[in-house]
Amino acid sequence: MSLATLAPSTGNPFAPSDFERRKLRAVTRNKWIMFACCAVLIIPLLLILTHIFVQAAPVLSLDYLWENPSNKGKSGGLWAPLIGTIYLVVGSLLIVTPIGIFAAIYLNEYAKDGWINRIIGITVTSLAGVPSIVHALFGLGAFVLVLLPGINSIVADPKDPDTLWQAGLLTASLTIAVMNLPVVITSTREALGAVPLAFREACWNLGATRWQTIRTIVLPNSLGGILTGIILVVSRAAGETAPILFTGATFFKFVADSGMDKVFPYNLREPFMAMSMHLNIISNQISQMPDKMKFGSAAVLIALILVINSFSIVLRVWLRARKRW
Amino acid sequence: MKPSLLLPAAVCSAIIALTGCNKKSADDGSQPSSKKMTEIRAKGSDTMIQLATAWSEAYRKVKPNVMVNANGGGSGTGIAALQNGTTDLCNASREIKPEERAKVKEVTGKDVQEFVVAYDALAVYSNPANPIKEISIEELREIWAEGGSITTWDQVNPAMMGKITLFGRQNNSGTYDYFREHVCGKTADKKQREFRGGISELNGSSEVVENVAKTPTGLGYSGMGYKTPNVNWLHISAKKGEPAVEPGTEAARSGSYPISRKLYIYTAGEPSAEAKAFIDWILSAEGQKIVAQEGFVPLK
Amino acid sequence: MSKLVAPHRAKEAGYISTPQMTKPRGSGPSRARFQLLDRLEKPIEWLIRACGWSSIIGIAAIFIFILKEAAPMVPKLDWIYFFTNSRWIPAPGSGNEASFGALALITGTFAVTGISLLLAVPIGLGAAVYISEFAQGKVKETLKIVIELLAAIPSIVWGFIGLMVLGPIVKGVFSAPVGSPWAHTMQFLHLSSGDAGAAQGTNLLTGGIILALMSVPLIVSLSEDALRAVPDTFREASLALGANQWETVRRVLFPAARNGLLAACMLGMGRAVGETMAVLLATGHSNRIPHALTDPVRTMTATIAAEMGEAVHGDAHYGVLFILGIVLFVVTCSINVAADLIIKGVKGKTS
Repeated sequence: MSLATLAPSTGNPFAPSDFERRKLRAVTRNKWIMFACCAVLIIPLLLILTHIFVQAAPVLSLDYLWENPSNKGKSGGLWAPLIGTIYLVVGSLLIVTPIGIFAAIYLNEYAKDGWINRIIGITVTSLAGVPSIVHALFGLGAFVLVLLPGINSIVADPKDPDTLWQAGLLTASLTIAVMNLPVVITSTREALGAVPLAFREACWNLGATRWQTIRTIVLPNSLGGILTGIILVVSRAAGETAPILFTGATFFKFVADSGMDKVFPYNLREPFMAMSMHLNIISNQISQMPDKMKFGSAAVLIALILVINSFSIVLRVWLRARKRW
Repeated sequence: MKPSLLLPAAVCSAIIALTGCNKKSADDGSQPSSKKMTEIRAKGSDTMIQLATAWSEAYRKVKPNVMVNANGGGSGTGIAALQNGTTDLCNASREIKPEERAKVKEVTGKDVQEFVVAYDALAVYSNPANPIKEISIEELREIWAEGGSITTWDQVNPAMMGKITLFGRQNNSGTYDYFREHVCGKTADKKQREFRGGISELNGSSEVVENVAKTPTGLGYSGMGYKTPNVNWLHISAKKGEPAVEPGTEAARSGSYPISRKLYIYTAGEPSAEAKAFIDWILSAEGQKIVAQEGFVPLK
Repeated sequence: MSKLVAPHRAKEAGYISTPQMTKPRGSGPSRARFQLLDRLEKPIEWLIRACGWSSIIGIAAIFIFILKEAAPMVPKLDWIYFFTNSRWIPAPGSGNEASFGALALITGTFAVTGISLLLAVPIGLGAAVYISEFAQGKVKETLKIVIELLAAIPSIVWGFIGLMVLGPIVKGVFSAPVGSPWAHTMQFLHLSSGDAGAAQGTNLLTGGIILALMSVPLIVSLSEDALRAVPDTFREASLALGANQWETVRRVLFPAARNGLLAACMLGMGRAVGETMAVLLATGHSNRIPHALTDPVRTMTATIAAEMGEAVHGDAHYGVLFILGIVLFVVTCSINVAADLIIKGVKGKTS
């Protein structure tokens, strides 16, 4: 082939040849295919969410959130499961946050390089990948069958069934805490790692000890990332069902309809109701459940999770704007 | 506020909130106007869950300070709860087995008390598009049991074509157990025949009926109280050639319908005073009226 | 504040020398609090070290406690039968032996996972490439936020969607009157087993689609990280040599990010294997080895969740359920550790 055949006969020497035009078409076609991949994710999701909220519309109202469920969930509202989920979230946060933050501090500040860091890294990843039903079995085996009898033998009076500790808020919170430990550790590690070494070096040069540096400079500057991790924990704790199935959640528990007992109905030693468990049972196991109640429960749970996660997104955007280094 | 103080402050306030302000739903001495609430836990049969809920709500009007918490999970779950000590009453749609009785005695030290509270008939449902109207126990055995020879509708009756799609209950259901014992029969060496593999195991009596309604080749078993206008129930004869009986109140009570059963409540040892009062109320005219309303067969 | 004085005159001025000079001066509660926290430093550092081991303790504890509950059953179980037979009858009739053949459950788990990976990997990689390479500015931000919200939806909601929304659609698509041509086609193509199409809306296909929707966000975000980790110089060099964008992606970026992409897919698979509530609601309940796409199946996770309620503590059934838990734990842990090793390299670069 000579140069003459390669060069186009029309004026523009830079116009694409047939071969190049085919390749450009392939690029556009592939771009559209990949965009379609994104669309395949987003459009069905939007359609499904719209369907759920439309089906739930007849029941959604503020009263729906304030009333207790009645008639096995076929009528009434969602207050008891909602407050139960809030209790569960607070309980597990109290347990997992200190342990997770300290663990991340250890990994990032005290045990920087070396085999111990590698092994802990692997165990964090493994813990993150454990199926939720295995966490439930662990909660059953460790907390319900070993911790509870231990507590009962110390504080409970065998003749008075009211003081007996049952599988309830405590065991469920512990199980959810173990499940979310990797999340806190990972997000705190990232946040601590984002603080430049220069900050720490300046502190050390001024004579501060390691703990003083962490306490005064590193932790306050990574608070944003830690908060993001905490919000992630909140979202997961609110949505998980399997770990609380046999470690403390119940489908039906009597909750007062008014007064102080309505706002603080549960305590650590008794089973409690939870949104995820409620949705699980009413969609699956109650006969003749009106569809709108099922969709209503799903809609409230989805809305709760989306609101919590949008806090996290807003927080991240705000933090990135505020970063001073 | 210093970040290092945030954590202890949050911990303290949360501990106060979780344990300090809390009152148990039982005995609350500080509020003189509330009476002592007694809670009776009932667990077990999904067949009886509607009935148990109806009883629970009606009993609240008779005795407002007694709360009967009814949960499902299947008769097996209820009996397991009796053994684990996590329930007061066990609703069961099948009789308790001798080995289960022994286990309860071994674990709790008490004998199992049995109360018959209603009768029920297990209906076999088919789709309205299916022209077949009656069937015999022998044919049902070959359809449902392991190693059975009937897999398509035309082996029963040439009027209907297609592979039979079977809908049953999950394996901790009393209905499952009862149907297996009375329909699947025994093998040559006197052992109980199990169900064949590949049956859809549904949670709940009305799910079976709903699924049969939507599947032209469907066949399923469930309590007779769960019939809807969208399904037919088959008339069943004890042997092929004998007259086929339709499920009904009199047929169930007299036993002429081949698959009729009793519904039970079991307790470990003597029930507590409140629980005994509840069971007595169930056996009285009021409780039995609710049995009839829910589609089951009252004792008298 | 004391006056500044030349050092050689310190003694006259009344200053005391070294040890007491370093005593913190000033007063007030803040000073005392700092003193307290500083004196607590040693105990706090011990606490930090102890917490550092928490994840190791956690994983070990999970394994130990599950093994403890499964231990009575481990010697008694017929392991060959367990892995090769599909007859799962935990609650037998009177006089019969319970039969624990988990082959159908294991096949169910891997069938659902397989279908979900078949759907999730291409879509996930495609979306990741689009977000990472072709999208810009606001579009990119929005897509990333949407993927994150997709990841946040809890599994019970996905199960609910499979049961109430997707199930009826699948049943509608795969239904036909007995004897019609569509019914025959479905049977021929192994799309359905029954003569009238799919028996239930909740089946293998529905479960696979739901699991795919659940694993895609994980695959997308991890793949995106992997693609972002490829230095820009690779892309610039490729474009400078005359390749267009698609060729750059296919011939330069994919090979360069191969480890990360593979690890992303493996972690997605690990997630799908371990998923419980979504498959419990969306795959139907039928203990069989699936022969057609719309057969209801049962996975190991759903079996544990559904049957734990009826198992009596210490029973054979109870022990076998814990053994299923161990199998799941081992499978998912190996997948995760393998993926981790692939990302970081076997020689051990710490992250």
